Amino acid sequence: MCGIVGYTGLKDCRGILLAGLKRLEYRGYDSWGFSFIKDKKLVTLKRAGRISENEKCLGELPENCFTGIAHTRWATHGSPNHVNAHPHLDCRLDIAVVHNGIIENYATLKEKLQEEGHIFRSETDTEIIAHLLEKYYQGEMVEALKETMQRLIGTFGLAIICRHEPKVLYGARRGSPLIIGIGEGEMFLSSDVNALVEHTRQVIYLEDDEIAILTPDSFKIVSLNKQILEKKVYTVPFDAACLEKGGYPHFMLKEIFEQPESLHNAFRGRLDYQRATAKFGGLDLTYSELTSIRGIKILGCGTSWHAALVGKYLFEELARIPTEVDYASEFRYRDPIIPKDTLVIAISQSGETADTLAAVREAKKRGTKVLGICNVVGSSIARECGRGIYLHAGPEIGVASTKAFTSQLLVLTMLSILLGRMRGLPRRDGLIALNAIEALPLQVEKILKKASEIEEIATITKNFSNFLYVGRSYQYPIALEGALKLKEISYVHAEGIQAAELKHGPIALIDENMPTVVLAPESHILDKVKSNVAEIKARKGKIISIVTQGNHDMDSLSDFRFAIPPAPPYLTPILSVVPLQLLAYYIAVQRGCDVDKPRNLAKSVTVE
Amino acid sequence: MQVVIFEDYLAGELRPVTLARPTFAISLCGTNLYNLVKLKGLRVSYILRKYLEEISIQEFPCSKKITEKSLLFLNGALLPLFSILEKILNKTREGKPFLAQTDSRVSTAFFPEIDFNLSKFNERSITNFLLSQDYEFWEERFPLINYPFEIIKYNKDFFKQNTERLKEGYEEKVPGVFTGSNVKIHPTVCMDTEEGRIIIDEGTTIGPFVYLKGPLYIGKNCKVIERTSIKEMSHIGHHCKVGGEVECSIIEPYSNKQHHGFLGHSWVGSWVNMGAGTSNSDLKNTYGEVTIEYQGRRIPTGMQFLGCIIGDYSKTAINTSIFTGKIIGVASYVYGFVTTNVPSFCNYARSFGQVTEHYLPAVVRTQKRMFERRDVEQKRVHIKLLEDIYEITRDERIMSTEAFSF
Repeated sequence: MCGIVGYTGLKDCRGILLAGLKRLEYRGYDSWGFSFIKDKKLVTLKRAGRISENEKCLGELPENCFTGIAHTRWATHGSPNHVNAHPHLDCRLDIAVVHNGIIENYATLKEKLQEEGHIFRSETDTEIIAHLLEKYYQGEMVEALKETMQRLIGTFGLAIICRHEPKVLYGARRGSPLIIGIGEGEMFLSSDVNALVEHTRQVIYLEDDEIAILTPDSFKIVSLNKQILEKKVYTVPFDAACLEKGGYPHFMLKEIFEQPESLHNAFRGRLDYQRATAKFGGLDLTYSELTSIRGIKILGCGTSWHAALVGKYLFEELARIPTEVDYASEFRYRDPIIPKDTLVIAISQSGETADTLAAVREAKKRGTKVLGICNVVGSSIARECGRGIYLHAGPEIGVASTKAFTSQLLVLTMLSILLGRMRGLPRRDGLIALNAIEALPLQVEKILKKASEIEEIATITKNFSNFLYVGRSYQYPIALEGALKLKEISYVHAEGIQAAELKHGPIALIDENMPTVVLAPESHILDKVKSNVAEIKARKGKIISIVTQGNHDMDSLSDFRFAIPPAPPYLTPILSVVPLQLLAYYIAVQRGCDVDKPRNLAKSVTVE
Repeated sequence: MQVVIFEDYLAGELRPVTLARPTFAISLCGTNLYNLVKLKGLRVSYILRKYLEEISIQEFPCSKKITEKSLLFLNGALLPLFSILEKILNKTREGKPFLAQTDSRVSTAFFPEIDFNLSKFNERSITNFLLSQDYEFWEERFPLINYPFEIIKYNKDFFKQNTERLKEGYEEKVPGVFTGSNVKIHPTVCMDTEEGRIIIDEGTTIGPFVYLKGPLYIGKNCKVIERTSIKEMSHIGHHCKVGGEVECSIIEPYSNKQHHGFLGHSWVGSWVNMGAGTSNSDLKNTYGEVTIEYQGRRIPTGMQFLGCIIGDYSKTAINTSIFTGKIIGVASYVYGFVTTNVPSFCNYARSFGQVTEHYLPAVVRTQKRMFERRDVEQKRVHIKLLEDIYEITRDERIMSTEAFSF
């Protein structure tokens, strides 16, 4: 999730690129950089931090540059600092590249290039592209690009300039978006129309494996295997107003709808069908270290703690490893007992959560291996753990965590498959899991298409001042998460309860003014959930049930029914939480709450 | 409408049954899915694991191109039952796209208007492609074959119902006995059709003093030797030689179980030879539920009677005794007591203290000799198939320690 802007034309491009980057900042903002061609030389400026905080540096750039590229970064490989910021240059400083996406085979390519004598400056996957282009460039950039693209595995949107061709801007894509803006006597490139609409409404959407060659007054598009292509020019309809949010009224809604993509990014390159297991680059644990794990302790706060609770079910069912879950804030002040061969896993979206960070340090002090699951690359927790798994969910801005939560669940599932396959989980079960994981993005998309059904439920139920959420097994943590979502953004009191616990007390709360959200997707425990819910129904509580498509066990008990696509029980949390996110969102909006900035809350909790 | 029978990502996990054959070629209840669809006069294309494509096209001709917009997708692991296929075909007459799932597998899907390029998909990608389409979710859970032992279970459950629908090309000479052309039945044969019909396909010879009990299916060009008894719910594939006692078992084409010995509640692949006196157990001494070892775990089968599964090209020596619920891989030669699962390409004489790898060139040589006896020419594809299976099953032999599992 990075932002790219490129320009070639007759205007001084500094201002244009700067404005474009600001528009793209929502896509990532841990570092940024520019490259221009000035007097047949490349001038580059890169900094860590947000661009809006560093505008003064731009004074350092020379005036009257007419071709340039810029980038705002959301780190995937290498921590966010000015060295890892884009653009990246080749050894001879001839070619500058900005990149959005992930190159999966960068490690092997990098090794080969280093053997050939190329000197790398950064830890990024992107830099290999600059060096590959250098290797294949013999006066023909398109040929060099074709050679390079054939060697890359992964996703990329690229903008490239070369000092030998001062008026040409190159673009190429596979998997990551790249859009050409056609102006009068000027051409633009961007990963998002947001950065373009100020200047032009005429755009071309580049497809996979296509290369764009742009000069101030011409554009040409060739494909990797065929010749010149005729492309349709589109006119962008919408206003520049709600651009940052990509057309959505709130970041939260945008992020909910980004989940098909963020889930895809979480498993991209991590599924190994050959061995029917998952694989991770940054685990830094040997095979024998992984097989000797006898216990797992997961630490987290808030939503991450709910993900950790699902993790307990996952590790115990799939990998048969006893697992404990702790609030990070409790763990650190309790003089915790950590048996030998225990793996501690710390979960935090931002990687800056103060309590979790302190708990990680506490665990490390006791000589335990700690694994971080974070979204923000190079964050404090990621650095402190030294080994970890990144979510690659892209920046999450809405205070109520949505896409990071589903990515956390997915990463935990993949980790439990990896550990399980080392402990006798049958190959067949591994394959079922892998295939079901690959189906998640399209399944979430199908749920999102039915968002209006949830909106209707929200309209009817918005005036209740209390809600119950109930579930069992994998769905119990989701009940907690659903209740938390509602509490934090709509200020409605909600409680998540293990369904069987109802009869031990909470059922006393039920009357006709207490609606209950029941998580009842298909599982070995559905019958039990059903009888728990029958007790609620008998007390006239309204029932909103989340069920599996094709299962009608709950029909007679439900006032409202929302169906999710069928999936193995250990993956249903990822699906069943989506309608709950939507329900909380719509109730909050209809009650007039500020969804993105709920009162009293901060996005990352850096205080204890 | 064109039919696309597809293998999904679990097709290869029915080892050893599907190592040498597509899932749609598993014999069950008197037919297999391919033949059943053909019987309905439908045009068939299929999506298979790559290494099976070339060899399958010879035995199971198909259209390599999709020429129609209206496509019915059938999972190859779907049971080949008239009742199921007819239900699906009836549903397609509504003209609306639908998809049915059994657990996480797609069992069938129909799209009246779809652009589909066969060559773009494989067994791994097809499921999620189908799921990504727009369709009405059909709340029907058709049984799919998930584990090798389920072949025996489903065969037993649906045999009578399905074979009663097999009519075409048979003549009912004796009540309850349906024969194809050129079938020779010795006058001393005793045929019991009390509990179901007996179908004997063309060119088959039944020797003297044979006892046959329906429901029963014997394929084309088989030879049933004297004093054999083949009992209910048995399916004998074409070109098989059968002797001794067979009960509730499936024998795939070109296999020999010539001599005395008991085969019960079992599945036997193609080109298998069972030496005289080979017997299997299908009931535990405890009369308890049979569990099988599958990929490192013990799986309860829910069955009290379950014999063995013998992969294609395997051979058993004289007086081999196979214990309840044991699985023998492809091209393994077994001797003595078989008390554990046997990986593919093994010489298994565990009761004499020897288990070694069976070299590929030796298997190829044996295949040639066996083919010659049945007038089948050993071609490159046949050798290639053995080579591919040898590679695929390498992990079975590396992983096998005392308790074999795959």
